[in-house]
Amino acid sequence: MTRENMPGENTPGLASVLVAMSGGVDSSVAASLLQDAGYEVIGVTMKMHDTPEARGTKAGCCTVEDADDARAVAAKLGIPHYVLDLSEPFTDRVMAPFAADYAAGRTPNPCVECNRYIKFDELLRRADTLGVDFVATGHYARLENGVLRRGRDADKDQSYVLACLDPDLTRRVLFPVGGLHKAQVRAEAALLGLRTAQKPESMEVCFLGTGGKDAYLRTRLALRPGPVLDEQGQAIGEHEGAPLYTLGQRRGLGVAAGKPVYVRAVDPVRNLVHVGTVPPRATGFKGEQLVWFGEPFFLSSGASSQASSGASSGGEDRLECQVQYSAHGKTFPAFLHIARATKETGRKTGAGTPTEAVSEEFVADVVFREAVPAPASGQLAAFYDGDRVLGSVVIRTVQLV
Amino acid sequence: MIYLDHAASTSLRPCARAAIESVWDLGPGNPTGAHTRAQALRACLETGREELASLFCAPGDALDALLSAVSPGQIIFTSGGTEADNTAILTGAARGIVLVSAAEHPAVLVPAIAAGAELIPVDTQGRVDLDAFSMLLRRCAGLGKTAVGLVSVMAANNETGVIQPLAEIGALIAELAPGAIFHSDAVQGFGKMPLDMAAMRLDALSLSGHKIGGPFGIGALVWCPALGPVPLLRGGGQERERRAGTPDAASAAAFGKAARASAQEDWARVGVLRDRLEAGLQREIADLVVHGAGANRLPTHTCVGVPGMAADLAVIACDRAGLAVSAGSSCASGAHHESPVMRAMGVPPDMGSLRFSLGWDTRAEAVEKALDVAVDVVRRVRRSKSSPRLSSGAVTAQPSAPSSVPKSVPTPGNLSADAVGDAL
Repeated sequence: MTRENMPGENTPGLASVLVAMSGGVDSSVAASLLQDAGYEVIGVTMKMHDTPEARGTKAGCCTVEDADDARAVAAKLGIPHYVLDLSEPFTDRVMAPFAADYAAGRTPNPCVECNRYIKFDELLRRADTLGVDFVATGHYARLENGVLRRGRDADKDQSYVLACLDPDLTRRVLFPVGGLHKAQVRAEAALLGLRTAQKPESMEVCFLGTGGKDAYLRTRLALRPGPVLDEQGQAIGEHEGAPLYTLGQRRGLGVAAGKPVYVRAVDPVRNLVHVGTVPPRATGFKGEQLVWFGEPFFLSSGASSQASSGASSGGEDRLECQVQYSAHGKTFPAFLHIARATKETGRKTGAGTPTEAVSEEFVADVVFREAVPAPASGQLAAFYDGDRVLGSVVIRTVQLV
Repeated sequence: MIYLDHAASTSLRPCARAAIESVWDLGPGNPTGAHTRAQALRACLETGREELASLFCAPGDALDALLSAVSPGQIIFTSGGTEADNTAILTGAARGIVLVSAAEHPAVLVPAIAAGAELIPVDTQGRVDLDAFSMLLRRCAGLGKTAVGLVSVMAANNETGVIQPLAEIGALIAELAPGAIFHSDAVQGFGKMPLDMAAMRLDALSLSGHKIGGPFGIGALVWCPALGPVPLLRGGGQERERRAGTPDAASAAAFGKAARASAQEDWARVGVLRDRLEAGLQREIADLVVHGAGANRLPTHTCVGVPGMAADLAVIACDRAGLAVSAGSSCASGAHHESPVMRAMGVPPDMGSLRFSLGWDTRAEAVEKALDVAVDVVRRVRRSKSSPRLSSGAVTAQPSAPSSVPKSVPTPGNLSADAVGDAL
């Protein structure tokens, strides 16, 4: 066996990177770019779950077919490729909370939680064990000197779902396609003759399968039918279980009211779904699990607070910024106020992830400049200054108009 | 690279390679044809068949040899072990209840479960629990004399190398389910252990070429002709209408040569190396468990469990250190699954298991190096990490690349459209 076909051997002196290869075009090209840039590149496909729903569907990003595509791309590029089993932390950190959040009347974003706990944190731990320096993915976002920015391709930008990352960990994270447009990525893949060049994008939540969220939750939650109530508290229909519904939802309510109705509140405790003829709007919300990439303006007291990011703090202890609360959604101007949680725990050092330490300490209060379509509790709110990500929180209580 | 994954696929033997080339050198021809060339290829195919059949005669014992002899007509060439297993299971399922051990390879387990098979429990060593098996047979006998269509128990386990008590199992079948076909997946055991079909009362065996130093893409089902297998592939009537498709004369000839060489191999030599590796691992890692250590095992396998070790990471770390091993048996997506064999043996799920499998060409020096690598990897992978390092130790992330990194390596963040513009 010659040295060329010994990808298992460590090559001294090269910065090494684990590229999370989902079997899609973006991570395929990411691996190739890193290779061109001189990194020692190791492809990994993360096996996240083995739900009966997702088996044999095209929805996921870690099916046998996708691992196979990733392996073929890695072989073509001449890099080693492995499959890592992350199903245990994925079950604990993403799938179990997903069902639990819906049961509590919230609308979680499992892709955010996967990014928060699995794709980077868990993967970096494995990189440590293997003596690998960096972790890279095919996300459309840019990281420059610890600053997280939107991807250059505005249509494909994925910075929103990355706004939950631990800023400290991002020192070891690379987003090689963040500076490219999707068309460039596909062209690069075609140029390299990669089989993933024309592969359609996976838009679905990977573990849900073709039945979607409702079918998944029906097999995991004890759902009971209950009344759909109008603004006057009159029952105007029957729902299939309050946890299946989301604030602002319009379709699938099973109500013939003559005009469109919208979910205005979900009450899982009493199994009630409240609807109204006006779509719910919000003036603000409170959030938890703060992640902050920007300067810690909120730590300085009162009027002296400032953000060097360029966003206006207006001499107050609140920051004016743009808020995005759904993937590929619009941004809305808002004022952000961050306060220490009443129960001071002190900043943890060394133990636990810094994200957890921070999330216990700070809460965010967001007031929109003017009322916006109401976000649902459980969604991520990402704060932006232009294309720069300042941070994020998970929305807890929404102030409706 | 040190290759200790011979249970997955072993080195092609020179005699097998020579046989392939000599058949290829004959020129084009289909062994089922009528002309001289076809007849020459046919002769190679049949030589391979005869060679395989002859190995079932126990050498040195003339009478037993005659009794246990397998006739060449009993050998059905297949595409591999999986096809042989599937043919056997589906034939058995058409006759009645299918019973298979809980430690079977997926090539048996999956079609058997699809056919509604019952699983025979195994003990903590992975051996069929004979008491439980006889109770199962008695229960089935209550349903009618010919209720059991087939019993399938592997000769030796692919993950642990544990050898099943086939003679005892065969005797129980003869007593309690005489109408049942007794099949054994001998893909791992063939060529490394005695397989006296008559003494074990076996009706059928599955064999594979590449596990014994032969080529890929060929296997065989040794089958008692009276039982009439249900062909999976129908078509041109090849293999006496038991397996359609043009037979591969070159692979068949090579398979026969490899099988003969394997049967003549000094496996005791390999066993000594295996024992040395195992003893070294146990010496260096105090709580390491050797799966099936209390049972008879093939001399080639050792499967060790380490509490709290992530087996998938250990395999990758070994690979990066130049040692090829596997975590349990390989699967389609390549990820480490909780092994059904380990589960059947009652191994706790938090115990990660590595399989080292030696081959006919494994040398002592390779085993010594493998021991060093494996001990280092196990220690490294076990060291629990509560959270990732916050910055890369080897490489400073920013702003400039340290001297240990070649200039061509960009610092993170510099990789932008400008950096790749030339490539597009």
